[in-house]
Amino acid sequence: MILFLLPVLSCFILFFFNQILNKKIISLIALISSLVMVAMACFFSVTLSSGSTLHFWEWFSIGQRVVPFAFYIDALSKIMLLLVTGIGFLVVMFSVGYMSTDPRYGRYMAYVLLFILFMLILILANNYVLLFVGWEGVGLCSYLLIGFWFDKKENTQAAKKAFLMNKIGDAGLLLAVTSIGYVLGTFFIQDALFKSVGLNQVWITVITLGFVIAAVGKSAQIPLYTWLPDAMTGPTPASALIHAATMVTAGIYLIVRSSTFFLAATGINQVLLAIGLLTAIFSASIATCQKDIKKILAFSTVSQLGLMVVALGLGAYKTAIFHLVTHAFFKALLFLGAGSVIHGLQGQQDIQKMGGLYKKMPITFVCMAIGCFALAGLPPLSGFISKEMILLNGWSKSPFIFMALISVSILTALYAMRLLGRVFGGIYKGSQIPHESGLFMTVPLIILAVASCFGGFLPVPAYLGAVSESSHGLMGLIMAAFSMFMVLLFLWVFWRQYAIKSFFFSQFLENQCHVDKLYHRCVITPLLIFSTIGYRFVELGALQLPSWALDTGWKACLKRISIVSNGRIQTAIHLFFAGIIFLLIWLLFL
Amino acid sequence: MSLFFIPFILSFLFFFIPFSKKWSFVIALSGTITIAISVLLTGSLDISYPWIPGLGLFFSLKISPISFLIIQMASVMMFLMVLSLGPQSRWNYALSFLSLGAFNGVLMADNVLLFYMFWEMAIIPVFVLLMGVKDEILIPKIGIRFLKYNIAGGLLILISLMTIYLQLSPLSSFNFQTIYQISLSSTQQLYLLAALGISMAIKLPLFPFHRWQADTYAASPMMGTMMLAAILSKLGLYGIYRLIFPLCSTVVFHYLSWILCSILLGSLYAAFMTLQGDNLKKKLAYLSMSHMGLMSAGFLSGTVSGLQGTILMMVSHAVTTISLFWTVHLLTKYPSSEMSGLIKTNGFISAVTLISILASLSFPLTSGFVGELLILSGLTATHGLLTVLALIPTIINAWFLLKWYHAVFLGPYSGHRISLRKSDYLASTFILLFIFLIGLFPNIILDLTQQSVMALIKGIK
Repeated sequence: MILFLLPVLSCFILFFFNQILNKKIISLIALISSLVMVAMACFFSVTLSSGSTLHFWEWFSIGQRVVPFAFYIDALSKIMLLLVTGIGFLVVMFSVGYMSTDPRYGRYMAYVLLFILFMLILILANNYVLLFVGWEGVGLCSYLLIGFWFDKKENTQAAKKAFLMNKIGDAGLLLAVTSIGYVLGTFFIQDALFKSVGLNQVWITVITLGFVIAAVGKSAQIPLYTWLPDAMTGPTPASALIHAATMVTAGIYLIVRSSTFFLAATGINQVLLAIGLLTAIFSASIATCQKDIKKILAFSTVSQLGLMVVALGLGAYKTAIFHLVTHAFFKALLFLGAGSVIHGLQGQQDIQKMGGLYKKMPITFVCMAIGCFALAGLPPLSGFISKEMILLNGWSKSPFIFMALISVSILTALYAMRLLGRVFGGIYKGSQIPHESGLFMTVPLIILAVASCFGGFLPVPAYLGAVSESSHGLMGLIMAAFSMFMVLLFLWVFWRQYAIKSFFFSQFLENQCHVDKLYHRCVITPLLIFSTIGYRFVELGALQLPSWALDTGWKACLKRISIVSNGRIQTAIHLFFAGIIFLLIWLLFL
Repeated sequence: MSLFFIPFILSFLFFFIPFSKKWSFVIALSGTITIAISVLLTGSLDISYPWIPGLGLFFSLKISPISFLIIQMASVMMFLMVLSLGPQSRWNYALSFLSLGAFNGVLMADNVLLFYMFWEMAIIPVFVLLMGVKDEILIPKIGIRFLKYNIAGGLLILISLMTIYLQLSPLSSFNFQTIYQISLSSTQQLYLLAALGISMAIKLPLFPFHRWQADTYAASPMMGTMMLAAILSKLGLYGIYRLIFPLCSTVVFHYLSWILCSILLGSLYAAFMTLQGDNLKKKLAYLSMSHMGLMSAGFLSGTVSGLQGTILMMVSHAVTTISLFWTVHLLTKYPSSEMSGLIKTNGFISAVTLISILASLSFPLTSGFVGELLILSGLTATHGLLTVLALIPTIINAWFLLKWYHAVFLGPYSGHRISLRKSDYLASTFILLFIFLIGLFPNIILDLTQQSVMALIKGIK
C-alpha cells in the first residue's frame, strides 16, 4: 500500500509543482518513483502466491454486489506487472534524455507516471469495475500524451480521434461489465469466471461481444484501428510505452483474463480470428509503403496486435501472452531506437531523408538492428519464437490460416528490413548533422536489445501453466530456415539500396488506403447530416407545430371575441347590464 | 423548520434592502452557508398546521431521506453557484433564493396542494430573471414559451391530482399518504400516467416536450440557467418518485420497456442536437437534456441499482453542469469568440474544465461514473438492448465536449487571457473536491438512500 502511494504522491507533486521544480528534481522524482514501482512489482511477484488478494477499501456496493478497491495476483498479472513496470522504468529513463529540453517536462513525466499507475490498476484489478477504471485511465493518459504538443491542430485532432475511438471500445466493455453484474450477480473476475459455466448462450454472446468491441478499440483492430497511426504525433517515448508495448495490449490481456467466457462461446472466436487476420495482413501491407519512421512502426504494431488476436481466436491464450511479452520488448526497443534517431536528427522522421546512420549512431544502429531482426522473425531472436508458436497453432487449425499468417510474416520481414536498410544503410541524405544520443537514451536501448535477443527463451507459456508441447520437429526447422532466408534476402535488397519502383498500389498503400477519408465520408458526415436533419425538421419543424397551432387557435379566438370587446364603452355597458339581467333571472327563477 | 424559511427570508432581504453588488455577494454567500449548515443540523422535519380547515387542508411539511438528500444537494449547489458567479445584482439573488425556497418547499410538502403550489412557484422567479435580460430581442417570445410549457405541466399535475381527490371521501385530508391509499383501475392509471408523465417530461425535460429548454438556457442570465439546469430540473425526477411511482406503478411496469426505450431515444436525439449550431449554452442545454434522459430512464427502471445510480448521477450532474456553465460564463465575459489555445495562459481553468468534462462523460474515479454504471445495470436488468441504446449518446456527448474543449483550450494560442478572482479559485476547488469525493467514496450518498430506495421498491412491486 505504501509502495503504491509513493508513485501517486510523486505524480501529484509533478502535476501541481511542475512550474516550480527544477528539471533535475523532476527527473529524480520520476526515476525514483518508477524504480519503486519496479521494486514493488518484483516484491509482489516473489512474495505473494498466486490467487492472493490485496484489499484496500470498499469503493461502493449495491445490493449484494460489492465493488472494492482490491488487487488480485496470479501468474498472468505477475507477468504483466513486471513487463509494465520494467518497460515503464526504461521509458522514463529514456525520457530523461529525450524530453528534458521540453518546457512542459514535468507535466510529461506526470502523465507517464499516471499512465503506469492506471496500467497497474488495469492488470491487477480483482473486479471488472476496477479493471474498467484502469482501462479508461490509460485511455485518458494516452489522450493527454498524444495531444501533448497541443499547439498543432493535427496533434489535438489525433488525440480527439484516439479518445473517441477508445470511447466506442469502452462502451463495449461497459456493456460486458453491466451484463456480467446483472447475470452473474458479481463483479469479481474470478467469481464471474467460475459462475459463467452453464450460462445462457445469449448472455455469453453479449458479454464476449462487449469484450471484443473493447479489445478492438483499445488494441487498434479493424475497424477501429485508425487512431493508432495518428497517435504517433505524441512524444516518441510515450509512443513506445503506450502505443506499442503496454496500453494497446490491454485488449489482449482483457480477453486472456476472461478466456473462460470465450471458451464457452461458439461464434465469437471466428469473429476474433477474422478480425485479427484481416488487421494483420492489411496493416502490414500498409507498413511496407510508409515514409514516416514512426508510422511504419505504428502499422507494424497494429499488425502484430492482429497476430495476437489471431492467437486468441485460435484459443492459444498463453501463446498470445508470450507474443505480447516479446513484442513489448522489441517494439519498445524499436520505438525508443526511432526516438534516438529522431533525436539525433533534430526531429526528422522521414526515412527518405535518412540513411548511412550506422556509422554515425553505432549503438542505436546495433540495437535497432536487433529489434528489426526480432520483429522480422530471424531465429532465434524473441520475435521468431513467439511468432512461430502462433503459426504452428494456425497450422494445426487450418492450412489457410497458416498461409495467411505466413504472408503476414513475409510482409513483416519486408517492412522491417526496409526500415533498417533505408535508415542505416547506404549514404546519408539529410541536411542535419546526426549525433549519437546520450547515456540516458542508450542504456535503455541496450537493456531492451538484450531482452529482445533472449526474451524468446523466457518460459512464459509454461509459467502460465501451459502443458509443455513436444518439440516442433521438422515443421519448426523448415520455418526457421524459411524465415532466415527471407530476412536475409530482404536485408540484402534494402541494404544495397535497390530502388523499388513505386506503382499505383503503393501510392494507395502509402495513403493508408484512404480509410480516414472513407470513415469521414461514411460515418462522420452522415451523422452530422442526420443531426442537421433532426434539427431542421424536428427541432425547428415538427416540434413547433403544437405551439404554432396553439398560437393560431388563440388568435382566431381573439378575433371572435374582438367583435364584442371592441373597446367601445357602449358595448361594454350593454354587455354588463345584459349580464346582470341574466344573473338576476337565473338566481330568481331557476 | 428553519431550513424551510431561510431561503425566503434571504429573498425578502434582497428584495427590500438595496445592497450594493459586493454586499449582496457577501450576504448571499453567508446565506448559502447558513442554509447548508441548517440542512446538516436538521435531522427530520414533520410539522402540520391547519391551513384551510374547511377543505381539510393542512400546511404539512415532512422530509424523507431521498428528499433530504436532494435538499442537501440543492443547498450545496446554491453555494457553488453563488461562489462561482461572483458579485451579482441583488435582484438575481432575491429571485434565485425565492426559487430555491420554493424548490425546498416541493421536496418538503406532504400535502398535494402545497406540492403543486411550490411546484409552480419555483419557476416564476426564473421567468422574471429571464425577462429581465434587455439586450436580446427574442426574450419575450422565449420567456412566454418557457412559461407556457411549465404552467401547462403544472396544470396537468393539478388536474390529475384533483381527479383523484374527487374520488376520495369529502373533507379527507389532502396528504400524500391519503392519496396513495386509493386504488385506481389500470385505465385510470394510464390516463394519470399520461398526464403526470407529460408534466415530468416538461420539467426534466424529455423529448418531445423540451422545446422551451435550449432557448431558455441560452437566453437567461447565468444564474437562471444554472438554477434551471442544476437544481430545478431535478424536480422532474422527484415527481416521478413522489407521484408516478406510488400512483401508477402497475401501468409503468407493464409498459416499462417501451417507456424506457422512448426516453433513451430522446436522449440520443438530444445528443445529436449538441452537434448543431454554435451557441454553447444551447449545446450544454442539450447535453443536460441527454443526461436527464439517461437519469430518468434509470429511475423509472425501478431497480435498486437504477434508482441509486440516478440519485448519485443527479448530484454529479448538478456539479458538472455548474462547472461547465461556469466555464462558459468566464469565456463569455470576453468579447471575442475566436479564442483558442487558452491552456497556455489559463492552465488552471483548462484543467478544471477537462476534469468537469470527464466527470460529465462519467470517467471512472470522478463523480459521474458509479452513477452511470449503476443506471446501466438497472437498464440491463430491464432489457439488455436498452444498455446499448443508453451507451450511444455517451459517445456522441464525448464528441461534442471534446470538440468544444479542443476549439477553446487547445490549438494555436490566440492571445487571450482570463483573469480569475479568488472566489473563482475557491469555487473550482470545491467543484474538484465534490467531483473526486463522490467519485472515490460514492458510498457516502448510496448509504444515505439505500434503505428508502429498498422500501420504495418493495412498495411499488
